Formats: sequence, C-alpha cells, structure tokens
Amino acid sequence: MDVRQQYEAACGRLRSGSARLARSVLYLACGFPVGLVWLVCCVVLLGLGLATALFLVGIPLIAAVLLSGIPLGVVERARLRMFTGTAVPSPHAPASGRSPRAWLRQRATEPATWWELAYAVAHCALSYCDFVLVTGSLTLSLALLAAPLLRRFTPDGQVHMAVFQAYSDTQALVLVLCGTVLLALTYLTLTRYAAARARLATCVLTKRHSAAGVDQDQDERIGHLVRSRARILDAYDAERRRIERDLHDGAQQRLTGLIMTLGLARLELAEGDSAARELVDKAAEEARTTLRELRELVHGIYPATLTDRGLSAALVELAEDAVLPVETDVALAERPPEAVEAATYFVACEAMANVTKHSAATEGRLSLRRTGTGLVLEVRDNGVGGADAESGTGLLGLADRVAVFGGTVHLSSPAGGPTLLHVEIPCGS
Amino acid sequence: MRIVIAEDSSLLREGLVQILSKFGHHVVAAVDNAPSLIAAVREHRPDLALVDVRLPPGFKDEGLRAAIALRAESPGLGVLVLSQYLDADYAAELLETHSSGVGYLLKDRVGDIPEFLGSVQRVADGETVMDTEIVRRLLGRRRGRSSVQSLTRREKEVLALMAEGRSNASIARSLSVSQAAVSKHIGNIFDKLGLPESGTDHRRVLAVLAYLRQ
Repeated sequence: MDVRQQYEAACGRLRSGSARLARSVLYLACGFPVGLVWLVCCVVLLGLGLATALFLVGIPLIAAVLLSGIPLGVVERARLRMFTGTAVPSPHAPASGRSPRAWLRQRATEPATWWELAYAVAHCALSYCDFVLVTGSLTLSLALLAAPLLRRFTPDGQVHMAVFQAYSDTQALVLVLCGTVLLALTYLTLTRYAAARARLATCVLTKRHSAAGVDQDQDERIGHLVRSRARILDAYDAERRRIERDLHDGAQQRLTGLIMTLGLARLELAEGDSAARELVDKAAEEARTTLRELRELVHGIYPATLTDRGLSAALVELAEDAVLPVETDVALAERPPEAVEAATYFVACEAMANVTKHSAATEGRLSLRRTGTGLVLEVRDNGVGGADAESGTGLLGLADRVAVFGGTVHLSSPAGGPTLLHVEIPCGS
Repeated sequence: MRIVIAEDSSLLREGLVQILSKFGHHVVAAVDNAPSLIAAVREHRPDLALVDVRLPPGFKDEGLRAAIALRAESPGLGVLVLSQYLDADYAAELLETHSSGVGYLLKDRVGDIPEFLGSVQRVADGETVMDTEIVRRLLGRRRGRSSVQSLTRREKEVLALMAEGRSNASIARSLSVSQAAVSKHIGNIFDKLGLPESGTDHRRVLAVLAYLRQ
C-alpha cells in the first residue's frame, strides 16, 4: 500500500469517525429538549388536571398525562431511526377500531404504553446528564485545543480552564496536547455511550412486553390472520347472498314478466295464425327453460331455504335433491349463527357432491347434531371408499372452510368402503 | 271475482293485474308488501288473495306467513301463493294449515294464461291447487320405508294429478284411461295410505298431505 492510499484510508477513517461523533453528539444533545418539552407539557397538564379534577374536567387531562409516553415514544423512535439508520418498529399493535374510545381502551391495556411512560420519566433525568456530559466534555476539549488562541485574547495572557492553567506558550501547547487526548477520550466515550443509550431505548421502546414475549407477538399475528380469514369468508357468503338476491329480483322477475307477456300475446293472436302461435309458443318454452335453469343456478349459489328456514331444512332439501336415496337425521332445536349455518351447509354440499360423483354408493346418510360446544355433521355412504383428503381440492377446501371456525374434518374411507366424513364445527351459544 | 294481489315486483304486479282484469276479474287492491296485504284483505274482503312468497319488509317468507294468517282470519278466502322457488316445504306448510281453497304455483305458470285462470278459479271454489313441479318433487322424496313406497307407478301419477286439484274426469283425460279406472286407483291409494272413508270428503287432500307429513 503506498503513501497516498494510506493517506486516503486515514482520511476516510477520520471522516467516518467524525461523522459518528457528530451523530452521537447530536443524538445525545437532542434528547434533552425532547425530555424538557415532555416534562413541561406533563407538569402543565397535571397541574391543570389536578386543579380542575373536582369539576371532572381534569380527569381527561390526568389520563392524557398517563398516556403521554406514547407521543414521546414516537419522537424517540424517530430519533433512534435517525441515529441507527434502520427501521424502528412500534411496540403497539395496529389500532383495531376506528373510534377514539376503542383506541384509548386498546392503548391503555398494552404494556408498551406503560413502558413508554416509564421510559419518559427515566429519559428526563438521563437526557439532562447526557446534555451536561456532551456539552461539558466537548466544550472543555475544544477550549483546550484553542488555548494558544485564547491566550492572545486575554489581557494578561493567562488561561484558566477547570484544573488547567496556561501562563506561557509551552504550557499552552501542553494544554493543546491535553485537549487532543481529551477529544480522543470524548470520542471514544460519547460514541459508545450514545450506542448504549440507543440500545437501551430500543429495548424499552420497540419490544413487545409480556411474559411470553415473542410468542405473544406471533399469537397476535396469527389472531389477525384468523380474523381476516373469517372476514373474507363472511364477505364471500354475503356476496353469494347478494348475487342470489340480485338474480331473484332482476333476471328471474324479468323472465317471468316475459313469459306472462308471451302468454298474453298468444291469446291475442287470431285463431288462424298458427305459424305465429307456434313461434310464440316456442319463445315461451325457451323462456321457461331459461327460467328453470336460472332457478337451479340461483339455488346453487345460495339456497333461499338456508336463509329462510335454516340449516336443518336446507340439509333435508339437499338430501332430497340427491340422485341416490339419502336418509337424514338433522333436527336442531335452534338455529346456529348464520356464518356457521352457511359453512356447514356448503360442506355438506361438497360432501354430497363427492358421494354422488365418486363413491358409486347406492345409499347415503346425512346427520347433524348439536353437542355441548358445537355442531357435528356426518355424511356416510355405502360406496367403494378410497376417498383421499389429500388428492382433491374439494375436501381440502372444505377443511379450510371449517378451520375458520376452529373446526375439524375427519375422513374415514378404507378401500371397499364405507366412507364416513365427520365434521365438527364449534359455535358459540 | 274480487282479488287482492301482493307482489313486490312492479313488473309482475302490473302483469297480473292486466291479465286478471282482461278476463273479467276485479282486482280491488295490488300491494307490494305483507302488512299492506293484510290491511287490504281486511278492508276489501276479496274472494281470493294472490300472494308472492317473498315479500318486503324481510324478503323471506312474509307472503306465505301473511297468507296463512289471513286464511285463519277469514276461512272463506281463497289463497293462491306464487313462488319463484321450487320449495316443497313452503307448499307443505301451506297445505298443513289449510287443506282447501289454497294453491301453490311457480310463477312461470302464469305464462299459460288459460291454465292460470283455471287455477285461480279452482282455488276460489275451495279446491286445492299444487304446482306440478312441486308435486313431482314431493313424490320424488325418498324417505325410506313408508306407505308411499307401496304405491304403484300409476297410482303415484294419479296422486300427482290429484294434488294439482284435478277432477277425476280431468285425470282420466290426462292419463288416457277411463274414469272408472281413475276411481279404482284413487280407492287403492286411500287404502294404502290408510285413509278410511268418513264424513268429511277431503280424502283427496289428505292423501297429498300423507306425502308431506312423512
């Protein structure tokens, strides 16, 4: 390595070193005004709050003081991000409700809120020390370095700084030497101290605080996923109902209207006009076929029976529509929640479709009963067996649907039969 | 005949009014929801109420409920329920509460106007009219070992036509057999379903009900 390269490397080190020092100094020094502003705000709010507490006006003010760690946490995390240059995650869960009341309740129950308050109090004291340390050490080292210069401006040519004095140029040079050493020490101390302070802040302000720690974090995320999956399914069922309603109120009514009009047209036609009558008859027949097909389609999308008369009736209807004889035992004393009804019904549909398509069964049985915790649906057939839950998407999709409610699907289908599908769906109340 | 119509689709409501008026009936009220239907029947005392199953406000089976309630109130009222659904349970419920002067037709039947007007007249006259599709569905119900299983194919056909409210002569014409043969089949049906002759002559309806109640 030649001299030039060494020089450039040294310059680079110095640049990055001074940048690091500047960043540390800035980080430590800025903390003080932040803490000060927080303290002043809290004192004012607390004072006002206590003064007006009797008139109940003060209660929210005092509550605001208790939650004041949250904005400080935001500012502190922003400062941390600037210091470390990396993203600093918030320890708070995303707000689950839009209303301020829901937000308050959520925040008040989070440990992170209280850790932030504790941090704020500690920060007030620590940031004061930081400030004194930073400004003191920097001022002293810079002043020492400037000692020869300062000697020029003092009338008697004497410089007194803390324990250091300079009465001559030699002594002033010694002070410059001391200043250099002190600056080096300041550099080492401040950069390490700032890093330690940042680590402490990161620890307190970004981690999810709980006994379970990371586990809870994961649990919460899984909870979010489960809830979002349930919402998607709800939206899907609602959409099915909407399409069913739209078709019923729109296309079906119009077709019926058309059939009526064609009926009237037929009567209007003169007896002799058999060609026109034939055409009208043909049109009416086609409209009727279309209406019939549409009726089947609408029924498949979301059977009105399920909405109007509930799961038991819909399952009986399903069994009656099957191409093979299906015995039913589906009496429920009361209707389960709508979402559970829909899930159970569509699971039964899929199962019956499988029985019809693949089992070669000659008879089936559909049973539904209420247990202490939920519903148990069983679909049996006397077919050839060998159904595999892994092979088709049908059975998998059906298990997914049930899993949203924390339910389970068990399939027993030995080669040669019989096949039994056992589905348990928990449902509240 | 004085008729009240309850149908929420204005298109169909006006179509029905047009058809019935054209053929000499007097539509005294045409409403679009169940509460108005009840009010209209109480006010106008019609001979027949023509009711859609699904009506506002709930768009479930308000129409059917209202029809059943109205019949309980005024037994002389004929009730013809029109439905977009092939729901045998609705029909069964209607028949179980009132076994005469009621009818259940799929809406597209209105397209065959002479047939539809005939159904209206029969219901007003106290007969029972069931949609062929619905009856086929009821007969198609497979519910294990029951007395219905013991009926022959021809007997089931006869029962299906009976359920539509046809007379013996009409059934004989449809099946191309003599009226005597129809009477014999009906007798067999009554025997197999365990319906002995009694003072009340609604055995025909009871035979259909035997299917529904299984």
